[in-house]
Amino acid sequence: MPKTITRRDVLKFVGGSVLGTFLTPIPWKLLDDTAIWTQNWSLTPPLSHGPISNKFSVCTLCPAGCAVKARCVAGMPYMLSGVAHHPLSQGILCPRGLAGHHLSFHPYRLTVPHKFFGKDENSRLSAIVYDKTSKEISKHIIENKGSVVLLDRQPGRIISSIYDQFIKNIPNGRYVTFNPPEESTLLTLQKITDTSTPLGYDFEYTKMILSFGTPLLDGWGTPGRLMKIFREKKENGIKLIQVEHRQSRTALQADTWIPVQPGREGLFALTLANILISEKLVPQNIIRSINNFQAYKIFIEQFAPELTCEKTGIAAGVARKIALELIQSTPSIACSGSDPGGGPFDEQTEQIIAELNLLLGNVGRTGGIVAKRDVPGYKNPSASHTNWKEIPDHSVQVLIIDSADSGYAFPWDIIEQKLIPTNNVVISLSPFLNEIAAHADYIIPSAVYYETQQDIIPSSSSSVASFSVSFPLNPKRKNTIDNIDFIKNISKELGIPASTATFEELLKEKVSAIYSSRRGLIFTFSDGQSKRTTEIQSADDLWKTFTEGATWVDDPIPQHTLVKFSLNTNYSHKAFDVGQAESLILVPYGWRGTVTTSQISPIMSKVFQESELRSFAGTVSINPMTASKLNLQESDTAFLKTEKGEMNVRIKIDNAVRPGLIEAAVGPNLNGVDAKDELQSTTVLDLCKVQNNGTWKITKATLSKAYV
Amino acid sequence: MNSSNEKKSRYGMIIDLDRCNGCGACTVACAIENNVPPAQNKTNIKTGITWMQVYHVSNNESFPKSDTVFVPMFCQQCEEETPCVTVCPQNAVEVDPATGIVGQIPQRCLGCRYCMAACPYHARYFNWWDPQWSEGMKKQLNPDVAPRMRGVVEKCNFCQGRLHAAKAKAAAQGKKEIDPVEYIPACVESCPMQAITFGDLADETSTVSQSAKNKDTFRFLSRLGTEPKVHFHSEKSWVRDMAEKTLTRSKKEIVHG
Repeated sequence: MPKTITRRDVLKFVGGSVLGTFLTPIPWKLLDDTAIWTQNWSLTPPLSHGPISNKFSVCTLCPAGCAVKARCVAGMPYMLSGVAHHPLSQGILCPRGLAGHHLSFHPYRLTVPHKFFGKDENSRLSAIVYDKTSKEISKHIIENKGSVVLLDRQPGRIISSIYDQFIKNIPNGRYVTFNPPEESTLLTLQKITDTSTPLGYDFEYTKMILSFGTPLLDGWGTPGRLMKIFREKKENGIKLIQVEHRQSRTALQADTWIPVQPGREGLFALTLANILISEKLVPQNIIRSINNFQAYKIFIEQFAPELTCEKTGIAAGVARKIALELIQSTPSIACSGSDPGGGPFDEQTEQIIAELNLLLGNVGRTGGIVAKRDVPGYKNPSASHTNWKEIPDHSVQVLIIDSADSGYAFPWDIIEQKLIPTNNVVISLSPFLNEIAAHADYIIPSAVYYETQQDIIPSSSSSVASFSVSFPLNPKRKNTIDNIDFIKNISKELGIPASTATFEELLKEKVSAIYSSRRGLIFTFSDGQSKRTTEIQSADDLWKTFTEGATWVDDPIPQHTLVKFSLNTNYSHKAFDVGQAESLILVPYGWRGTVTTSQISPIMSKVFQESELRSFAGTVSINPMTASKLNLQESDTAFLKTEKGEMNVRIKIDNAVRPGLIEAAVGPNLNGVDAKDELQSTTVLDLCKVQNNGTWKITKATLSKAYV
Repeated sequence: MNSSNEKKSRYGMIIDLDRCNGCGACTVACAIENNVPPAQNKTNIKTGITWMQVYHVSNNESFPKSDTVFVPMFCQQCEEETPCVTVCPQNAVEVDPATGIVGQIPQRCLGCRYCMAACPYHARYFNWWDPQWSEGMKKQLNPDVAPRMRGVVEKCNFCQGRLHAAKAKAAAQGKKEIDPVEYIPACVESCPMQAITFGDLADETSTVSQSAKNKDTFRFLSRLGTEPKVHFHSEKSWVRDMAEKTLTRSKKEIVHG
């Protein structure tokens, strides 16, 4: 008898089927397939196909001149590395250089000219047509009632001489340079000793480096050179003493860290000078070279370590030990160098540090500060041009700023104090809209790193002259403008003569001058070998060698110690009074190349946004004691206020920070924060007080918990 | 079968913490070599992907006695009872018997993240978003390394793309073994202080094998018995002592990260 199918049977069948399904692979397979489908949709980018090749070039992100080997797919670079045995960079690239090929395609790259309409809160940024931009800029230059200034922060290049020629043809035109902070001690020494001969640091043969805040191991000079010297310091016997108010990366690697009070570095240098003189540690031949030794001896008595230790925060015994080490470890080098975000020292401190070198007999000596020659065909840039500091305040009506970057911060206040208060026009040749460019009226999208040819006269910190050419690795972006073409266009609009030579022709002239000099060695990147310039058959052959990747390095020259010099006797204790002990002090700091006009690759987020290896802009570090007093905790949002303004900051608590100091990171910005966002908000540099002497190292501040 | 696989290697590293100056070159080179995408707007330390994460570790002394070392932390390539292998339900993690390298197979990964929970070194990362590069940067991706997709875990694999390239080159030259200079991970190549030494721990004559026996060389969390193949070196006792401490993001811990 057939069984009747009841409602219960149907439910049991359905329920059993559902349960049974889970015992089969079906749901798991569906789940897996769904996962795989979501993982393989078109948002995962396809890879490039094409021949793999190696190309060589030279990094131009800063003046260091590091040689680059680029692995390319279908002609496009995908991985950069250093060139082994390169005489300057020693096979090393800094993190910024490793990712430099991305900059052409940075999401914030400007590819059309932009103009700011209005200068108030309602200002508006708009893209404009290049031809119209040229006409407007020319009109401003013709109409100018003040002066027209062209600011070059990396003087000495071919484009620098083109700027110089261009500006000479304009009434009230001035070509102005801003000395790279790395050169400060060297330039000060040139000034004191009244010489135009370029100087360099002979780090390779020194025994002791007394560094006043110089970030020697954090991107300073040519990083590969310094890193090689320090990783081999056990073998070569070099000692490093870092005099710095914060425990920087260089301070951590130094043999001795002297945690001087901020703003008292010069006072500590005078203390060392006092010990050297009063304890008769200075050799007689040096004493005989000092024109005003007796006067200096009396003057320096006021800087005895017992009298300065309270202000410097360095015990007298420690200062004596350092002075003794300096005399025992000759040749030595005393160098100053500003933190890329923290800015330069004032001129007085620079001079004191430079004079310490004279007192130690470091100048004109192998292993000390040595004389070198200019690159054939080039002139020492610092010798003949107006320095930015010499421009009278409120005198500049039209300012053109070159795109080259020294990697060091440049607060807008420094620019603004030179501009006439109304109707000024600022033109920035910049591939990105940040730092100074963000304040400009016109932003001309210049070509970036690896899109154009450029000559490189590397960091003046090197002990001999050198020359390289950077050749493009990336295709030039449409609508971007080479700086030389911008100058030619403006010259045409103004009806003034301009060179018709192409940049390559000008480069070849320089190479020809090097060939004719018959000096130095040519290092070729592909085989890592060096040969004498005299072994090259012709200037054309030398040019071909450069196009394949090469660096020219000059021969060292004989050194001569200084015959006579005078030391300054006008310093006073009062100059080192930097503020009330009970105040909080804001000290900005930064990482070379992340605080300036240049952008960094988005991939650099790995070191500051996706890790805590570096702090990003708006992060301030304070000591746990300071935090406790202010009732602040790690990752709190706090309110930072100075006489210049206020902003919200993120708190980081760090034992290594001096109690009472607020160490503020100037850059870099988080990915997704572009210049337009930045313009809407205050940055750390906006809060720093730029002193009359051009420094912004120390600003009194308050910090309190923000309730957001 | 590739003849180079006949020899059983155990690739490992020695990192000299006294040399590392925390420049970040290894981290950046690693990301470029392995097509790790840059951070997006909201990405932070907890959601980012850094195969090579460099921690900033303090001795917990007050200023000015404070001292800091930078500790590069990445997959420690555990040899025994490899925790991520043990817990993976998809067999998406495996230890290559020929090289000892712990490999991650994204195509098998279901994104359950058990491996992340199991990893004692916090060295595994999850793709919370689709990888994003600007249009031009997509053309600059390493053609030897496939970008990973949203929803899978990834980690350091000692630049396996470079190992395969070295193997292919050796095979093309008719060699049984790769030339050690042909296989150098990106972090090792880029380190300006030459703080990272890479090589075959199974080769008694290699620098890495010799250095691993140094009295000042140690491994993190060795008490777990997973036999990591990444060794660290420091002459500072407080640095060696921290090796058995747990890396944590707690505010009160002396280890930041």
